[in-house]
Amino acid sequence: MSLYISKLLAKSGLQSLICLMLAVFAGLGLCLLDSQVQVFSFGDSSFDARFFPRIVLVLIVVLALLSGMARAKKMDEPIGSFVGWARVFLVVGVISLALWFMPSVGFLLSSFVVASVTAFILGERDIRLYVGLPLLIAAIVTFGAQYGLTIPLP
Amino acid sequence: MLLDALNALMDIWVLVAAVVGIVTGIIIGAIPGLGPTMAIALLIPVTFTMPPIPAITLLLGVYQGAIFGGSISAILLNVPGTPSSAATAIDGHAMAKRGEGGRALRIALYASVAGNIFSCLVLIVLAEPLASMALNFGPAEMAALMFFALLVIVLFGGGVRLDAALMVLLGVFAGIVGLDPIEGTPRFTFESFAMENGLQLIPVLVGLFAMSEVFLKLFERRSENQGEMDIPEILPSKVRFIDMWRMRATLLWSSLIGTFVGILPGIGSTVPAFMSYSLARARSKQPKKFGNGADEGIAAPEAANNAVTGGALIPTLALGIPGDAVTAVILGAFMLQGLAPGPFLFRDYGLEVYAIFEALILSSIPTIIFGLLLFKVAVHVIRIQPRHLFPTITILALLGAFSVNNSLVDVWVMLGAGFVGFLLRRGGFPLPPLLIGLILGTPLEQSVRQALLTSNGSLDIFWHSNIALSIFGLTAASILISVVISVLKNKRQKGSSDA
Repeated sequence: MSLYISKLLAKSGLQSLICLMLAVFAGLGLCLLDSQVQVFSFGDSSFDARFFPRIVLVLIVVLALLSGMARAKKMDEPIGSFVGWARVFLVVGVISLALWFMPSVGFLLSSFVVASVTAFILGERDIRLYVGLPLLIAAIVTFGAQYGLTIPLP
Repeated sequence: MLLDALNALMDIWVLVAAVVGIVTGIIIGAIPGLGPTMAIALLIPVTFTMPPIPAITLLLGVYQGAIFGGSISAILLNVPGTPSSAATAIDGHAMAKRGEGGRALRIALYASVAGNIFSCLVLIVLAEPLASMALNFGPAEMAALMFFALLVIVLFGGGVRLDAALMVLLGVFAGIVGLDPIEGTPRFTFESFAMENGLQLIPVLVGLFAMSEVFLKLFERRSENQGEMDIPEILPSKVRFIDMWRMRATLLWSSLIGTFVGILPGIGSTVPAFMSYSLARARSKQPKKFGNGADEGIAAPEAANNAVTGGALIPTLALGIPGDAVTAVILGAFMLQGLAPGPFLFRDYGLEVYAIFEALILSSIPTIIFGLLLFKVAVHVIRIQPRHLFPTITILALLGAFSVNNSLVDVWVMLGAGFVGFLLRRGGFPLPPLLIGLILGTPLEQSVRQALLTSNGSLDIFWHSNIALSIFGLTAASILISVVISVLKNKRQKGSSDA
């Protein structure tokens, strides 16, 4: 049994992982359905606000498991390099921080930081291009949006 | 109506919008990795303050321009800017390697315009009658139609059907978040007031198509310089009217294929491009020329993939069912302008819609002018490094998501959608079914529940409607065709592996 599991894990990759995650999330959604969708009816109809989500979530669980099982028989897409994932998570983290601080520091500064870090992580090493160019673009976009398109940016 | 619409076009801003859209589209389309979906999604905020006709003309100009722009990098670099230009690359790049890149680009441009004009004429003829027919649809018929559309996307959208079905369901589930369409009950909002609006279409699609591309580029960061690619020289050349006239049958067939495949939901423009290429080769008296720089090998796929534009707009505007990811984005743009696509669009906003159709046809003139002028600029655009381009895309994605409701919640949604899109794209799952599921999920639920509530839960409401029965018949036929195609494909593969 353990040999089978280790073989399965060795073959498993990103696609199986995604299928598993989808099945787990949909399963959780099914468990949370009653608390997340509160229906105040007199029990006269079964086609309430929970009817459609229930069908969709059950189908997601079934299809995700089927898809995962189908993948387990074949070679899966490898999960990929640690460095690649680290780069993505770093930028996701920087964007999250920028969004967190955006109401206090403003769109210009936040978007400049995000663009600058993205340029650096993408391999730009010329300071004019990973600081100057993002600053220029962030300024053009911010002032263009605020004064040209009248978007009230933070 | 057509004359009134033409009158509405007599506005300098419509012309400016068309030109800006086409130029932007050609430039963005020429950059490998940036497609029309991302371009339109990022430009939607620009259209917020514009009146509907110039706003939609701008976005459709980007669509038209980007599909042609994709062929520039396909011809010059053998790197299709959009997947639909892959067929053009076969003969286009071969011709460019002979030093006739300019000729290949001109043929592609003229064929693109021909395909676009043809499909727009079909759009004008077919869209309103289809919408009028759909006015007779009740909830049962609409539910059957949307179920059919989602099934066609799963069956014929390409790739693994199980994955496509999973993506459709994921999209439908994303549409469930927020208030339910019948009773207004909050669902999966986790008691957040902001989430009661649900996952907004524009932030989700900016995340799925723009932000996920940034994450993919970060993940796959390569050391080689794109600008060092060998770009063939573009020598002065001419393509005369008579050269295109000789290919009239090819152009007509390809435009027909493109338009009618475009009408079918979810298939996109890559399949008709290759279908037209194969048909042109089969009909040719000199099939051996194909693959070595044949004129018709460029004209056929280009006419077909541009004809998809008009074809895909037919179900999008008449029924509110987008044909592919790009038209799903355009549908979102229509909704933001207050023009809700569907059967009532032509009744309530006929003037605006016909003006947009006419603008699509008339913008062929600036497409030719700016297409010819931009050939040489595009060569420089292709050299832009991802590390200079993608930070800009990130800023535009942040702005685009924020500007929909001036809310940071939408930017968080965009970031989440971007990460999910990145994961799914890395895993090889298709994104267009997810987007179309998101768009059609809510109306599907509304129609199904309305139908079942009226019939007190009896499924007879579906069987007693002739229209719904016909649509179910079409659904069954689609399943049958898909099974037959799979069996034939498997047999052919088995045959070739045995040989």
